[in-house]
Amino acid sequence: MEGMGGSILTALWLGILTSISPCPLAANIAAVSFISRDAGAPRRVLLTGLIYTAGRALCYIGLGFLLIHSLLSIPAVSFWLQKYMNQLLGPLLIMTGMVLLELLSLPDTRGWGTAWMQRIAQQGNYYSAGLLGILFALSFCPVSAALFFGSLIPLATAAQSSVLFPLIYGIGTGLPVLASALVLAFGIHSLNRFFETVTIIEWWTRRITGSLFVLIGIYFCLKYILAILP
Amino acid sequence: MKKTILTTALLLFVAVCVAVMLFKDNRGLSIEATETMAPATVSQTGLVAYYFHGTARCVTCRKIESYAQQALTEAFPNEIEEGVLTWRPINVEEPENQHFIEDFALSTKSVVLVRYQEGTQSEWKNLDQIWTLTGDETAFKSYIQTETQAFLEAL
Repeated sequence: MEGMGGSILTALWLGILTSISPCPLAANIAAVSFISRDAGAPRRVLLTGLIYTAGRALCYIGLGFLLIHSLLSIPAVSFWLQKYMNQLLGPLLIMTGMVLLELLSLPDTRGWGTAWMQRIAQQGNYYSAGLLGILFALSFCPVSAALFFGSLIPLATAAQSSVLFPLIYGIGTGLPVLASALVLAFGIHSLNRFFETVTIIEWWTRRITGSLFVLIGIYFCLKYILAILP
Repeated sequence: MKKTILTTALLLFVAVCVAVMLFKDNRGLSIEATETMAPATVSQTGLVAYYFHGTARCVTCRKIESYAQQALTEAFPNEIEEGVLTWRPINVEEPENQHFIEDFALSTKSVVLVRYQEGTQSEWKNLDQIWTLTGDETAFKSYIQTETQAFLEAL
């Protein structure tokens, strides 16, 4: 039991280590900005952050379950996700940022892509926070791939736990983002109460989030698609 | 007017990126490719320290490459000079190198020590602690040097 407790703590630490390492920094900035944009309502920020973390955890559980219980090759899955998800993320973040900035007004269609972006764009939409969590969790960078595929999966396999360990790891990856978003939201909320400028600050948080999504999307495109950035 | 220009520029940029993504040579990481590739060999007895990386390089990945190379050149200058120990960075996203992913069960950028006896691969080890030691240069280099020393002694 003691060994199990130690392994669970290791899984949590691996998750935290993944989140605070430099390579997912750009995605984490986008996530913090997205979660804390309802700064006028810290409880809503907390719930959005928890759902974002749940999205990440769900993704890791699904991947962990597939890798442990199927014949999927860990190297092939890991390199495929590292290569293609980061490429996909660039255009997706730019388009979402453009919707947040109201540069694009999407037609009311039922297409998957536009429906997703509309959901993302709707303020206070918890469903979109979960989707963002899944998307960012799937976008593995070298550090997160090393810690998830190289450390967490062997740990989960040894403990015969394909759900608990990825769940704890997922919570670990979401905790620093959630904490940062809450600190930011409470800070902005205090400013709101002091200056009584809720509307102006919410207008700005939405635009800052949109701008960050566009800039981070451009960064992903330059790095992973056009290979211009080192 | 400014809004229209910005929107058009961003949409054009996205279109170019999607086109590049779709049309550039994305040769997949297929298992079939492994079977047609030549196995990793050297023509003599010795140790090869591989650093496997991708096309996109991250800050930590560059740090790992630099620390690992320094660790070897600082501790084993004679072995490198004599050709007993070789440092070999490899981009595994190049089609001819993709077999290394399955050969050494790589899940990300990795340092792998491979011992060859008369050109035949006899033993290999993925130094999987590198990711947890990147914050401590001394410990990182010591880890690389200890593992390499153990491999060299078994030659």
